[in-house]
Amino acid sequence: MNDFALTTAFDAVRRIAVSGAENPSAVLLICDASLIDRVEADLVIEFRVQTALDPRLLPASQIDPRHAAEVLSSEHRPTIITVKVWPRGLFESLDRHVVLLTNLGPVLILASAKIANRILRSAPNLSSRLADVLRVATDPGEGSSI
Amino acid sequence: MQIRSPEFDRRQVYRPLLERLNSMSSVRRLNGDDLIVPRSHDPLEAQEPPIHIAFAREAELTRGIQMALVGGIGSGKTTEMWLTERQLNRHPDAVNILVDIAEKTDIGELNTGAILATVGLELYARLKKKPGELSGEIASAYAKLRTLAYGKTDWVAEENLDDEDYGERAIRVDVPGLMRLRFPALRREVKEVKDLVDTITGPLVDQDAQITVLIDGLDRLSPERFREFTEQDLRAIKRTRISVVVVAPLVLWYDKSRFLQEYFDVVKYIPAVAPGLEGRSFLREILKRRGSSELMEAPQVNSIVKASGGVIRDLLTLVRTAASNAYGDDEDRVRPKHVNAAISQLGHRYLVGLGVKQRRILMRLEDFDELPTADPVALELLANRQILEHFDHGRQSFEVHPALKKVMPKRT
Repeated sequence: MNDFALTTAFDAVRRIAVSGAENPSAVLLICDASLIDRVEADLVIEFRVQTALDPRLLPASQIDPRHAAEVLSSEHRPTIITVKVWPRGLFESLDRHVVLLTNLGPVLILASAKIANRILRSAPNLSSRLADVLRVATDPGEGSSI
Repeated sequence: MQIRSPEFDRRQVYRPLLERLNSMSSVRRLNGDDLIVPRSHDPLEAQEPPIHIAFAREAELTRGIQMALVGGIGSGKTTEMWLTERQLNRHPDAVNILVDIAEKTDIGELNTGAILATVGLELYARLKKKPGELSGEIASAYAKLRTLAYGKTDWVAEENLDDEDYGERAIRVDVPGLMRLRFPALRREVKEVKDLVDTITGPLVDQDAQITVLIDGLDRLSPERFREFTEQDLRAIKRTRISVVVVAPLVLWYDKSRFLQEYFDVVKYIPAVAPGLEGRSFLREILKRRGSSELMEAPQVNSIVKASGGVIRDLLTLVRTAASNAYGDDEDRVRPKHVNAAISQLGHRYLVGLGVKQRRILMRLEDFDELPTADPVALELLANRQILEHFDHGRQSFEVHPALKKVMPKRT
Protein backbone atom coordinates (compact mmCIF):
# COMPACT_ATOMS: atom_id res chain seq x y z
CA MET A 1 0.00 0.00 0.00
CA ASN A 2 3.03 2.25 0.30
CA ASP A 3 3.10 2.68 -3.46
CA PHE A 4 0.06 4.94 -3.61
CA ALA A 5 0.79 8.64 -4.07
CA LEU A 6 1.28 10.71 -0.96
CA THR A 7 -0.97 13.64 -0.24
CA THR A 8 -1.99 15.92 2.62
CA ALA A 9 -5.42 16.82 3.98
CA PHE A 10 -4.98 20.20 2.28
CA ASP A 11 -4.20 18.64 -1.11
CA ALA A 12 -6.91 15.96 -0.84
CA VAL A 13 -9.62 18.58 -0.27
CA ARG A 14 -8.12 20.84 -2.92
CA ARG A 15 -8.45 18.03 -5.49
CA ILE A 16 -12.09 17.59 -4.55
CA ALA A 17 -12.78 21.30 -4.52
CA VAL A 18 -11.42 21.79 -8.04
CA SER A 19 -13.89 19.31 -9.49
CA GLY A 20 -16.73 20.84 -7.51
CA ALA A 21 -17.47 20.17 -3.83
CA GLU A 22 -21.10 19.39 -4.75
CA ASN A 23 -20.29 16.89 -7.50
CA PRO A 24 -20.32 13.16 -6.78
CA SER A 25 -16.91 11.57 -6.29
CA ALA A 26 -15.35 8.96 -4.04
CA VAL A 27 -11.77 8.96 -2.77
CA LEU A 28 -10.02 6.35 -0.63
CA LEU A 29 -7.53 7.90 1.78
CA ILE A 30 -5.01 5.67 3.53
CA CYS A 31 -3.33 6.66 6.77
CA ASP A 32 -1.76 5.13 9.84
CA ALA A 33 -4.51 3.59 11.98
CA SER A 34 -3.40 5.62 15.01
CA LEU A 35 -3.72 8.88 13.06
CA ILE A 36 -7.24 8.47 11.65
CA ASP A 37 -8.83 10.91 14.12
CA ARG A 38 -6.17 13.53 13.49
CA VAL A 39 -6.48 13.23 9.70
CA GLU A 40 -10.26 13.41 9.98
CA ALA A 41 -9.97 16.63 12.01
CA ASP A 42 -7.56 18.08 9.43
CA LEU A 43 -9.95 17.21 6.61
CA VAL A 44 -12.85 18.91 8.40
CA ILE A 45 -10.82 22.10 8.78
CA GLU A 46 -9.74 21.99 5.14
CA PHE A 47 -13.32 21.56 3.95
CA ARG A 48 -14.44 24.52 6.04
CA VAL A 49 -11.60 26.73 4.83
CA GLN A 50 -11.49 25.71 1.16
CA THR A 51 -15.15 25.07 0.42
CA ALA A 52 -17.03 26.75 3.27
CA LEU A 53 -18.84 23.43 3.76
CA ASP A 54 -19.17 21.44 6.95
CA PRO A 55 -18.58 17.80 6.06
CA ARG A 56 -20.72 15.06 7.53
CA LEU A 57 -18.74 12.62 9.69
CA LEU A 58 -19.81 8.99 9.52
CA PRO A 59 -17.94 6.30 11.43
CA ALA A 60 -18.32 3.10 9.38
CA SER A 61 -19.15 1.19 12.56
CA GLN A 62 -22.36 3.22 12.87
CA ILE A 63 -23.66 2.51 9.37
CA ASP A 64 -26.04 -0.43 9.13
CA PRO A 65 -25.04 -2.21 5.89
CA ARG A 66 -28.72 -2.93 5.18
CA HIS A 67 -29.43 0.81 5.11
CA ALA A 68 -26.06 2.10 3.89
CA ALA A 69 -27.51 3.45 0.68
CA GLU A 70 -30.28 5.40 2.45
CA VAL A 71 -27.88 6.76 5.09
CA LEU A 72 -25.44 7.99 2.50
CA SER A 73 -28.02 9.46 0.16
CA SER A 74 -29.83 11.32 2.92
CA GLU A 75 -27.48 14.33 2.61
CA HIS A 76 -25.69 15.98 -0.26
CA ARG A 77 -22.74 17.63 1.53
CA PRO A 78 -19.23 16.09 1.56
CA THR A 79 -19.06 12.97 3.71
CA ILE A 80 -16.06 11.50 5.52
CA ILE A 81 -16.43 7.81 6.40
CA THR A 82 -13.83 6.66 8.92
CA VAL A 83 -13.15 2.94 8.98
CA LYS A 84 -11.29 1.84 12.10
CA VAL A 85 -12.37 -1.80 12.16
CA TRP A 86 -13.66 -3.84 9.24
CA PRO A 87 -17.41 -3.21 9.05
CA ARG A 88 -18.92 -6.53 8.10
CA GLY A 89 -21.07 -6.26 4.99
CA LEU A 90 -20.80 -2.49 4.57
CA PHE A 91 -18.48 -2.33 1.59
CA GLU A 92 -20.09 -5.32 -0.07
CA SER A 93 -23.39 -3.41 0.21
CA LEU A 94 -21.85 -0.19 -1.14
CA ASP A 95 -20.35 -2.20 -3.97
CA ARG A 96 -23.77 -3.54 -4.98
CA HIS A 97 -25.39 -0.12 -4.72
CA VAL A 98 -22.55 1.97 -6.08
CA VAL A 99 -24.98 3.59 -8.52
CA LEU A 100 -26.51 5.46 -5.56
CA LEU A 101 -23.22 7.29 -4.99
CA THR A 102 -23.87 9.08 -8.27
CA ASN A 103 -26.60 11.05 -6.48
CA LEU A 104 -24.33 12.30 -3.70
CA GLY A 105 -21.64 14.85 -3.08
CA PRO A 106 -18.03 13.81 -2.48
CA VAL A 107 -17.36 10.81 -0.21
CA LEU A 108 -13.96 10.37 1.43
CA ILE A 109 -13.23 6.96 2.90
CA LEU A 110 -10.50 7.16 5.51
CA ALA A 111 -8.90 3.84 6.48
CA SER A 112 -5.69 2.12 7.53
CA ALA A 113 -3.60 0.37 4.89
CA LYS A 114 -4.89 -3.04 5.96
CA ILE A 115 -8.53 -2.02 5.70
CA ALA A 116 -7.99 -0.07 2.46
CA ASN A 117 -6.49 -3.21 1.01
CA ARG A 118 -9.61 -5.15 1.96
CA ILE A 119 -11.92 -2.48 0.52
CA LEU A 120 -10.14 -2.58 -2.83
CA ARG A 121 -10.32 -6.37 -2.91
CA SER A 122 -13.90 -6.85 -1.77
CA ALA A 123 -15.60 -4.00 -3.61
CA PRO A 124 -14.47 -4.06 -7.27
CA ASN A 125 -17.36 -1.91 -8.53
CA LEU A 126 -16.73 0.76 -5.93
CA SER A 127 -12.97 0.56 -6.51
CA SER A 128 -13.37 1.16 -10.22
CA ARG A 129 -15.33 4.34 -9.51
CA LEU A 130 -12.85 5.80 -7.03
CA ALA A 131 -11.49 9.07 -8.31
CA ASP A 132 -8.28 8.47 -6.34
CA VAL A 133 -6.52 6.23 -3.84
CA LEU A 134 -4.04 8.30 -1.86
CA ARG A 135 -1.89 7.99 1.25
CA VAL A 136 -2.25 10.89 3.66
CA ALA A 137 0.87 12.33 5.23
CA THR A 138 0.44 14.09 8.54
CA ASP A 139 3.74 15.91 8.32
CA PRO A 140 3.08 19.01 6.14
CA GLY A 141 6.51 18.71 4.50
CA GLU A 142 5.89 15.12 3.47
CA GLY A 143 2.95 15.35 1.07
CA SER A 144 3.03 16.08 -2.62
CA SER A 145 0.65 15.35 -5.43
CA ILE A 146 2.76 12.72 -7.18
CA MET B 1 8.51 31.97 -17.09
CA GLN B 2 4.75 32.39 -17.43
CA ILE B 3 3.33 35.73 -16.37
CA ARG B 4 -0.20 35.55 -15.10
CA SER B 5 -2.73 38.23 -14.50
CA PRO B 6 -3.71 38.54 -10.84
CA GLU B 7 -7.21 37.25 -11.75
CA PHE B 8 -5.87 33.98 -13.19
CA ASP B 9 -7.61 31.09 -11.53
CA ARG B 10 -6.18 27.66 -12.40
CA ARG B 11 -9.33 25.95 -11.14
CA GLN B 12 -11.18 27.31 -14.17
CA VAL B 13 -8.70 25.49 -16.41
CA TYR B 14 -9.09 22.08 -14.74
CA ARG B 15 -12.63 22.12 -13.37
CA PRO B 16 -14.51 21.67 -16.69
CA LEU B 17 -12.27 18.76 -17.69
CA LEU B 18 -12.54 17.04 -14.30
CA GLU B 19 -16.31 17.41 -14.35
CA ARG B 20 -16.51 15.85 -17.80
CA LEU B 21 -14.33 12.93 -16.66
CA ASN B 22 -16.25 12.14 -13.50
CA SER B 23 -16.87 8.39 -13.32
CA MET B 24 -19.75 9.08 -10.94
CA SER B 25 -21.66 11.17 -13.48
CA SER B 26 -24.92 9.68 -14.65
CA VAL B 27 -25.24 8.64 -18.30
CA ARG B 28 -28.19 11.02 -18.72
CA ARG B 29 -26.00 13.94 -17.72
CA LEU B 30 -23.22 12.79 -20.05
CA ASN B 31 -25.68 12.61 -22.92
CA GLY B 32 -27.03 16.05 -22.11
CA ASP B 33 -23.51 17.38 -22.49
CA ASP B 34 -23.03 15.35 -25.71
CA LEU B 35 -20.11 13.40 -24.20
CA ILE B 36 -21.12 9.90 -25.30
CA VAL B 37 -19.34 8.35 -28.27
CA PRO B 38 -21.44 5.38 -29.49
CA ARG B 39 -19.60 2.40 -30.95
CA SER B 40 -19.89 2.01 -34.72
CA HIS B 41 -20.40 -1.79 -34.64
CA ASP B 42 -20.70 -4.83 -32.41
CA PRO B 43 -17.36 -5.23 -30.57
CA LEU B 44 -17.22 -8.94 -31.50
CA GLU B 45 -18.40 -8.70 -35.11
CA ALA B 46 -17.38 -5.72 -37.22
CA GLN B 47 -20.15 -6.51 -39.75
CA GLU B 48 -22.87 -6.41 -37.11
CA PRO B 49 -24.56 -3.17 -35.95
CA PRO B 50 -23.65 -1.69 -32.54
CA ILE B 51 -25.20 -3.47 -29.57
CA HIS B 52 -27.79 -0.78 -28.81
CA ILE B 53 -29.02 -0.78 -32.40
CA ALA B 54 -29.23 -4.59 -32.46
CA PHE B 55 -31.13 -4.68 -29.16
CA ALA B 56 -33.56 -1.99 -30.28
CA ARG B 57 -34.23 -3.73 -33.61
CA GLU B 58 -34.92 -7.05 -31.93
CA ALA B 59 -37.26 -5.46 -29.38
CA GLU B 60 -39.11 -3.60 -32.12
CA LEU B 61 -39.60 -6.65 -34.30
CA THR B 62 -40.01 -9.53 -31.81
CA ARG B 63 -42.24 -8.69 -28.88
CA GLY B 64 -41.54 -10.67 -25.74
CA ILE B 65 -37.89 -11.24 -26.69
CA GLN B 66 -35.39 -11.53 -23.82
CA MET B 67 -31.84 -10.28 -24.26
CA ALA B 68 -28.78 -10.13 -22.03
CA LEU B 69 -25.72 -7.89 -21.99
CA VAL B 70 -22.44 -8.84 -20.31
CA GLY B 71 -19.18 -6.98 -19.91
CA GLY B 72 -16.47 -6.24 -17.40
CA ILE B 73 -16.62 -3.43 -14.84
CA GLY B 74 -16.42 -0.05 -16.56
CA SER B 75 -16.81 -1.45 -20.08
CA GLY B 76 -19.82 0.74 -20.92
CA LYS B 77 -22.79 -1.54 -20.20
CA THR B 78 -24.94 1.20 -18.66
CA THR B 79 -24.17 3.44 -21.64
CA GLU B 80 -25.31 0.71 -24.07
CA MET B 81 -28.52 0.22 -22.08
CA TRP B 82 -29.17 3.92 -22.12
CA LEU B 83 -28.46 4.17 -25.86
CA THR B 84 -30.86 1.25 -26.45
CA GLU B 85 -33.60 3.07 -24.58
CA ARG B 86 -32.91 6.24 -26.54
CA GLN B 87 -33.09 4.30 -29.82
CA LEU B 88 -36.40 2.70 -28.80
CA ASN B 89 -37.84 6.06 -27.80
CA ARG B 90 -37.90 7.23 -31.42
CA HIS B 91 -41.31 5.54 -31.77
CA PRO B 92 -43.97 7.58 -29.99
CA ASP B 93 -46.11 4.52 -29.13
CA ALA B 94 -43.17 2.70 -27.49
CA VAL B 95 -43.24 2.25 -23.72
CA ASN B 96 -39.65 1.88 -22.54
CA ILE B 97 -38.51 1.58 -18.99
CA LEU B 98 -34.87 1.64 -17.89
CA VAL B 99 -34.22 0.85 -14.23
CA ASP B 100 -31.13 0.11 -12.21
CA ILE B 101 -32.41 -2.45 -9.75
CA ALA B 102 -29.92 -1.22 -7.11
CA GLU B 103 -31.73 2.13 -7.10
CA LYS B 104 -35.02 0.41 -6.27
CA THR B 105 -34.10 -2.19 -3.70
CA ASP B 106 -31.29 -3.82 -1.72
CA ILE B 107 -30.14 -6.43 -4.20
CA GLY B 108 -28.41 -8.32 -1.41
CA GLU B 109 -31.79 -9.19 0.09
CA LEU B 110 -33.88 -9.61 -2.99
CA ASN B 111 -36.65 -12.22 -3.13
CA THR B 112 -37.87 -13.86 -6.30
CA GLY B 113 -40.81 -11.89 -7.66
CA ALA B 114 -39.20 -8.57 -6.68
CA ILE B 115 -37.84 -7.81 -10.14
CA LEU B 116 -41.18 -8.64 -11.70
CA ALA B 117 -42.88 -6.42 -9.11
CA THR B 118 -40.49 -3.56 -9.98
CA VAL B 119 -41.47 -3.95 -13.64
CA GLY B 120 -45.17 -3.81 -12.71
CA LEU B 121 -44.76 -0.74 -10.50
CA GLU B 122 -42.75 1.10 -13.15
CA LEU B 123 -45.30 0.28 -15.85
CA TYR B 124 -48.11 1.49 -13.62
CA ALA B 125 -46.27 4.80 -13.07
CA ARG B 126 -45.97 5.12 -16.84
CA LEU B 127 -49.66 4.31 -17.39
CA LYS B 128 -50.67 6.93 -14.86
CA LYS B 129 -48.93 9.62 -16.87
CA LYS B 130 -51.07 8.82 -19.91
CA PRO B 131 -54.30 10.74 -20.37
CA GLY B 132 -57.51 9.00 -19.31
CA GLU B 133 -58.66 7.35 -16.15
CA LEU B 134 -57.34 3.97 -15.06
CA SER B 135 -59.88 1.26 -14.29
CA GLY B 136 -60.58 0.22 -10.72
CA GLU B 137 -59.23 -3.23 -11.55
CA ILE B 138 -55.83 -1.75 -12.45
CA ALA B 139 -55.75 0.48 -9.37
CA SER B 140 -56.57 -2.50 -7.20
CA ALA B 141 -53.88 -4.65 -8.89
CA TYR B 142 -51.39 -1.83 -8.26
CA ALA B 143 -52.36 -1.59 -4.58
CA LYS B 144 -51.91 -5.36 -4.16
CA LEU B 145 -48.60 -5.26 -6.01
CA ARG B 146 -47.33 -2.45 -3.78
CA THR B 147 -48.23 -4.46 -0.71
CA LEU B 148 -46.50 -7.53 -2.08
CA ALA B 149 -43.43 -5.48 -3.00
CA TYR B 150 -43.01 -3.39 0.12
CA GLY B 151 -45.03 -5.37 2.68
CA LYS B 152 -47.49 -3.84 5.13
CA THR B 153 -48.07 -3.54 8.85
CA ASP B 154 -51.38 -4.55 10.36
CA TRP B 155 -52.32 -4.02 13.99
CA VAL B 156 -54.04 -7.12 15.31
CA ALA B 157 -55.34 -7.40 18.87
CA GLU B 158 -53.41 -10.04 20.79
CA GLU B 159 -56.49 -12.04 21.69
CA ASN B 160 -57.29 -12.36 18.00
CA LEU B 161 -53.93 -13.94 17.27
CA ASP B 162 -55.15 -17.47 17.20
CA ASP B 163 -53.69 -20.37 15.33
CA GLU B 164 -57.14 -21.03 13.93
CA ASP B 165 -56.90 -17.79 11.96
CA TYR B 166 -54.09 -19.28 9.98
CA GLY B 167 -55.87 -22.50 9.16
CA GLU B 168 -54.54 -25.96 9.68
CA ARG B 169 -50.79 -26.33 9.85
CA ALA B 170 -49.46 -28.21 6.85
CA ILE B 171 -46.25 -30.08 6.15
CA ARG B 172 -44.74 -29.81 2.70
CA VAL B 173 -44.33 -33.12 0.94
CA ASP B 174 -42.50 -33.17 -2.40
CA VAL B 175 -43.17 -36.09 -4.75
CA PRO B 176 -40.47 -36.14 -7.42
CA GLY B 177 -41.71 -36.44 -11.00
CA LEU B 178 -40.35 -38.62 -13.75
CA MET B 179 -38.94 -35.75 -15.76
CA ARG B 180 -36.56 -33.04 -14.71
CA LEU B 181 -37.96 -29.70 -15.86
CA ARG B 182 -35.69 -27.62 -18.04
CA PHE B 183 -36.43 -24.67 -15.78
CA PRO B 184 -38.05 -25.02 -12.34
CA ALA B 185 -41.76 -24.29 -11.93
CA LEU B 186 -42.78 -20.71 -11.12
CA ARG B 187 -43.09 -20.13 -7.40
CA ARG B 188 -46.44 -19.15 -5.92
CA GLU B 189 -45.38 -15.58 -5.10
CA VAL B 190 -44.00 -15.10 -8.62
CA LYS B 191 -47.27 -16.33 -10.15
CA GLU B 192 -49.19 -13.95 -7.92
CA VAL B 193 -47.04 -10.98 -8.97
CA LYS B 194 -47.27 -12.02 -12.62
CA ASP B 195 -51.09 -11.98 -12.54
CA LEU B 196 -51.05 -8.46 -11.09
CA VAL B 197 -48.51 -7.28 -13.67
CA ASP B 198 -50.70 -8.77 -16.41
CA THR B 199 -53.66 -6.74 -15.15
CA ILE B 200 -51.61 -3.52 -15.03
CA THR B 201 -50.17 -4.01 -18.51
CA GLY B 202 -53.53 -5.09 -19.96
CA PRO B 203 -54.43 -1.70 -21.53
CA LEU B 204 -50.97 -1.35 -23.08
CA VAL B 205 -51.08 -4.86 -24.53
CA ASP B 206 -54.61 -4.20 -25.84
CA GLN B 207 -53.34 -1.08 -27.58
CA ASP B 208 -50.64 -3.23 -29.18
CA ALA B 209 -47.98 -1.03 -27.58
CA GLN B 210 -44.35 -1.98 -27.88
CA ILE B 211 -43.17 -2.49 -24.29
CA THR B 212 -39.49 -2.91 -23.45
CA VAL B 213 -38.03 -3.13 -19.96
CA LEU B 214 -34.28 -2.60 -19.58
CA ILE B 215 -32.90 -3.74 -16.22
CA ASP B 216 -29.41 -2.64 -15.23
CA GLY B 217 -27.51 -3.75 -12.13
CA LEU B 218 -28.33 -7.48 -12.19
CA ASP B 219 -24.66 -8.18 -12.94
CA ARG B 220 -24.01 -7.43 -9.27
CA LEU B 221 -25.97 -10.52 -8.27
CA SER B 222 -24.04 -13.75 -7.81
CA PRO B 223 -24.35 -16.04 -10.86
CA GLU B 224 -26.54 -18.42 -8.82
CA ARG B 225 -28.92 -15.66 -7.76
CA PHE B 226 -29.04 -14.22 -11.28
CA ARG B 227 -29.98 -17.65 -12.59
CA GLU B 228 -32.71 -17.96 -9.96
CA PHE B 229 -34.23 -14.58 -10.90
CA THR B 230 -34.02 -15.39 -14.58
CA GLU B 231 -35.78 -18.72 -14.10
CA GLN B 232 -38.52 -17.10 -12.03
CA ASP B 233 -39.06 -13.39 -12.68
CA LEU B 234 -37.87 -13.18 -16.27
CA ARG B 235 -39.51 -16.43 -17.27
CA ALA B 236 -42.81 -15.15 -15.90
CA ILE B 237 -42.49 -12.07 -18.16
CA LYS B 238 -41.65 -14.31 -21.12
CA ARG B 239 -45.27 -15.36 -21.25
CA THR B 240 -46.32 -11.74 -21.79
CA ARG B 241 -45.50 -9.50 -24.77
CA ILE B 242 -43.02 -7.42 -22.82
CA SER B 243 -39.47 -7.44 -24.20
CA VAL B 244 -36.60 -7.44 -21.74
CA VAL B 245 -32.92 -6.47 -21.81
CA VAL B 246 -30.87 -7.25 -18.70
CA VAL B 247 -27.27 -6.77 -17.66
CA ALA B 248 -25.94 -10.17 -16.53
CA PRO B 249 -22.88 -11.22 -14.48
CA LEU B 250 -19.78 -11.54 -16.65
CA VAL B 251 -18.82 -14.88 -15.08
CA LEU B 252 -21.82 -16.50 -16.80
CA TRP B 253 -20.37 -15.60 -20.20
CA TYR B 254 -17.60 -18.11 -19.52
CA ASP B 255 -19.80 -20.64 -17.72
CA LYS B 256 -19.63 -24.14 -19.12
CA SER B 257 -23.37 -24.71 -18.67
CA ARG B 258 -23.98 -21.95 -21.25
CA PHE B 259 -26.97 -20.83 -19.25
CA LEU B 260 -27.02 -17.34 -20.81
CA GLN B 261 -26.94 -18.64 -24.36
CA GLU B 262 -29.51 -21.32 -23.52
CA TYR B 263 -32.06 -19.09 -21.78
CA PHE B 264 -31.80 -15.73 -23.56
CA ASP B 265 -32.78 -15.15 -27.17
CA VAL B 266 -29.89 -12.74 -27.74
CA VAL B 267 -26.68 -12.33 -25.70
CA LYS B 268 -24.22 -9.52 -26.38
CA TYR B 269 -20.79 -9.06 -24.87
CA ILE B 270 -18.67 -5.93 -24.46
CA PRO B 271 -14.98 -6.80 -24.14
CA ALA B 272 -12.30 -4.19 -23.54
CA VAL B 273 -11.72 -2.07 -26.64
CA ALA B 274 -9.19 -3.85 -28.89
CA PRO B 275 -5.75 -2.19 -29.03
CA GLY B 276 -5.71 -2.01 -32.88
CA LEU B 277 -5.86 1.15 -34.96
CA GLU B 278 -9.66 1.38 -34.90
CA GLY B 279 -9.86 0.76 -31.15
CA ARG B 280 -7.24 3.39 -30.38
CA SER B 281 -8.97 5.93 -32.52
CA PHE B 282 -12.31 5.21 -30.76
CA LEU B 283 -10.65 5.77 -27.36
CA ARG B 284 -8.97 8.96 -28.55
CA GLU B 285 -12.34 10.21 -29.79
CA ILE B 286 -13.82 9.65 -26.31
CA LEU B 287 -11.02 11.69 -24.75
CA LYS B 288 -11.35 14.40 -27.38
CA ARG B 289 -15.09 14.66 -26.67
CA ARG B 290 -14.33 15.06 -22.96
CA GLY B 291 -11.86 17.86 -23.69
CA SER B 292 -8.56 16.21 -22.78
CA SER B 293 -6.75 17.74 -25.78
CA GLU B 294 -7.17 21.15 -24.16
CA LEU B 295 -4.78 20.11 -21.40
CA MET B 296 -2.45 17.48 -22.82
CA GLU B 297 -0.37 16.76 -25.91
CA ALA B 298 -0.91 13.83 -28.28
CA PRO B 299 1.91 11.68 -26.82
CA GLN B 300 0.31 11.89 -23.36
CA VAL B 301 -3.09 10.99 -24.80
CA ASN B 302 -1.51 8.01 -26.58
CA SER B 303 0.20 6.82 -23.37
CA ILE B 304 -3.13 6.95 -21.55
CA VAL B 305 -4.99 5.13 -24.34
CA LYS B 306 -2.38 2.35 -24.24
CA ALA B 307 -2.30 2.07 -20.45
CA SER B 308 -6.10 1.91 -20.20
CA GLY B 309 -6.11 -1.49 -21.90
CA GLY B 310 -9.27 -0.38 -23.68
CA VAL B 311 -11.32 -0.18 -20.47
CA ILE B 312 -13.32 3.00 -20.88
CA ARG B 313 -13.65 3.80 -17.19
CA ASP B 314 -9.89 3.33 -16.71
CA LEU B 315 -9.26 5.62 -19.66
CA LEU B 316 -11.25 8.37 -17.95
CA THR B 317 -9.73 7.64 -14.52
CA LEU B 318 -6.22 7.95 -15.95
CA VAL B 319 -6.89 11.36 -17.50
CA ARG B 320 -8.63 12.53 -14.36
CA THR B 321 -5.79 11.43 -12.09
CA ALA B 322 -3.17 12.90 -14.42
CA ALA B 323 -5.05 16.23 -14.55
CA SER B 324 -5.49 16.19 -10.80
CA ASN B 325 -1.76 15.55 -10.36
CA ALA B 326 -0.92 18.45 -12.68
CA TYR B 327 -3.28 20.76 -10.79
CA GLY B 328 -1.67 19.66 -7.52
CA ASP B 329 1.71 20.63 -8.99
CA ASP B 330 0.40 24.07 -10.00
CA GLU B 331 1.01 23.32 -13.66
CA ASP B 332 -1.16 24.65 -16.48
CA ARG B 333 -0.84 21.50 -18.59
CA VAL B 334 -0.56 17.79 -17.97
CA ARG B 335 3.06 16.64 -18.29
CA PRO B 336 4.43 13.12 -18.95
CA LYS B 337 5.34 12.74 -15.25
CA HIS B 338 1.69 13.31 -14.30
CA VAL B 339 0.54 10.66 -16.78
CA ASN B 340 3.16 8.17 -15.56
CA ALA B 341 2.12 8.76 -11.96
CA ALA B 342 -1.55 8.21 -12.92
CA ILE B 343 -0.69 4.91 -14.66
CA SER B 344 1.27 3.79 -11.61
CA GLN B 345 -1.66 4.75 -9.35
CA LEU B 346 -4.11 2.69 -11.39
CA GLY B 347 -1.68 -0.22 -11.64
CA HIS B 348 -1.27 -0.35 -7.87
CA ARG B 349 -5.03 -0.50 -7.41
CA TYR B 350 -5.05 -3.66 -9.52
CA LEU B 351 -2.01 -5.03 -7.71
CA VAL B 352 -3.71 -4.93 -4.32
CA GLY B 353 -4.62 -8.34 -2.97
CA LEU B 354 -3.01 -10.42 -5.70
CA GLY B 355 -1.94 -13.67 -4.05
CA VAL B 356 0.35 -16.44 -5.25
CA LYS B 357 -2.41 -18.16 -7.26
CA GLN B 358 -3.37 -14.96 -9.06
CA ARG B 359 0.25 -14.05 -9.84
CA ARG B 360 0.88 -17.52 -11.21
CA ILE B 361 -2.04 -17.13 -13.63
CA LEU B 362 -0.85 -13.68 -14.69
CA MET B 363 2.68 -15.00 -15.31
CA ARG B 364 1.35 -17.95 -17.29
CA LEU B 365 -0.59 -15.55 -19.47
CA GLU B 366 2.46 -13.33 -19.91
CA ASP B 367 4.89 -16.15 -20.66
CA PHE B 368 2.80 -18.69 -22.56
CA ASP B 369 -0.26 -16.71 -23.65
CA GLU B 370 -2.44 -19.21 -21.79
CA LEU B 371 -5.47 -18.54 -19.62
CA PRO B 372 -7.39 -21.35 -17.89
CA THR B 373 -10.86 -19.80 -18.28
CA ALA B 374 -12.47 -22.67 -16.36
CA ASP B 375 -10.42 -21.75 -13.27
CA PRO B 376 -12.50 -19.60 -10.85
CA VAL B 377 -9.39 -17.56 -9.93
CA ALA B 378 -8.80 -16.73 -13.59
CA LEU B 379 -12.46 -15.79 -13.95
CA GLU B 380 -12.20 -13.47 -10.97
CA LEU B 381 -9.15 -11.80 -12.55
CA LEU B 382 -11.20 -11.32 -15.72
CA ALA B 383 -14.24 -9.99 -13.85
CA ASN B 384 -12.08 -7.56 -11.87
CA ARG B 385 -10.20 -6.48 -15.02
CA GLN B 386 -6.72 -7.50 -13.95
CA ILE B 387 -6.91 -9.62 -17.10
CA LEU B 388 -8.57 -8.16 -20.19
CA GLU B 389 -10.17 -9.92 -23.10
CA HIS B 390 -10.00 -8.37 -26.56
CA PHE B 391 -11.62 -9.22 -29.87
CA ASP B 392 -9.98 -7.85 -32.97
CA HIS B 393 -11.63 -8.81 -36.28
CA GLY B 394 -13.10 -11.88 -34.62
CA ARG B 395 -9.77 -12.94 -33.05
CA GLN B 396 -9.89 -13.39 -29.27
CA SER B 397 -6.91 -12.57 -27.07
CA PHE B 398 -6.21 -12.01 -23.38
CA GLU B 399 -3.68 -9.69 -21.77
CA VAL B 400 -2.65 -8.57 -18.31
CA HIS B 401 -4.01 -5.05 -17.76
CA PRO B 402 -1.21 -2.77 -19.10
CA ALA B 403 -1.28 -0.52 -16.00
CA LEU B 404 -0.95 -3.58 -13.75
CA LYS B 405 1.82 -4.99 -15.93
CA LYS B 406 3.75 -1.79 -15.42
CA VAL B 407 3.85 -2.09 -11.63
CA MET B 408 4.10 -5.85 -11.24
CA PRO B 409 7.25 -6.78 -9.34
CA LYS B 410 10.05 -7.71 -11.73
CA ARG B 411 10.99 -11.37 -11.76
CA THR B 412 14.60 -12.34 -11.20
